[in-house]
Amino acid sequence: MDAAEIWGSIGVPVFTGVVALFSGVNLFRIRAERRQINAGAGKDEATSAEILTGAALAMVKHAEEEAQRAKAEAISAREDATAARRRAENAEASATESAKISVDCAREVMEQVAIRQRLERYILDQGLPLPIP
Amino acid sequence: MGVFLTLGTGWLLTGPSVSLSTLLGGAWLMLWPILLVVSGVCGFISAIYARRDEGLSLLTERVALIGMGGFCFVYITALVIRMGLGPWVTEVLFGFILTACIWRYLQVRTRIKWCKRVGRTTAPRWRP
Repeated sequence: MDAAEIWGSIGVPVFTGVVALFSGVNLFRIRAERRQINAGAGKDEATSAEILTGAALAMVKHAEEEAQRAKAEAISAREDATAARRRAENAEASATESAKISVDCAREVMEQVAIRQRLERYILDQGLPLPIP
Repeated sequence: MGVFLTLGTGWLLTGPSVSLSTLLGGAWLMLWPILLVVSGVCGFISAIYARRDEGLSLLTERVALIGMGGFCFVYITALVIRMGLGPWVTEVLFGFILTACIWRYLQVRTRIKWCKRVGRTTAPRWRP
């Protein structure tokens, strides 16, 4: 009895039985497996929605961080503007004071010049020699 | 699918080929045409529901591929045992079909696992 006869008499019936059994099992499992597949319908859409929700939350968080950063920058800019305005006010006050002092000085000089002219005129009227050459 | 359905039906009506009659005997001789008819019908159902119900289509295609692949293997064996390796055209032809069945079976099995994990709806995925 050679290998071909052994295969023909034993192998093929066994193989046939295995195929028939496997085919029958798969045939009777169709309903259950189909129900299992259809039961998960919409799962991929739910997963997509979950991913989109996560992405939206991440975007909101990022926007919130950006807003806080912008708010901090605005506060810093406002502080800088306040300091600049204070410096400008100080400079303005200083300039006003300087102008006032200048005017006082000019008035004093004019008064002194007027006194000098009056004294010179008196000296000349009296025929006295001028002390200043 | 249609070829194998015709083959199984013809076998049931007129009897198997000489090689298969020589190799198979008794109940096994009547089991294969039944398997071929079942495989062919499953193949037709698979083709009909391919766009409407992917789960049903894949599951019936799996049954069809098992039956057709098994028959190809048995038929090649019967030809080799009866006539040796001389006239090899038919063996090569059925060998190609067997390879295609195995290849497609692996694809279908992977797709079924994916469908079970993700879930598929029976709603039409296309509009005419």
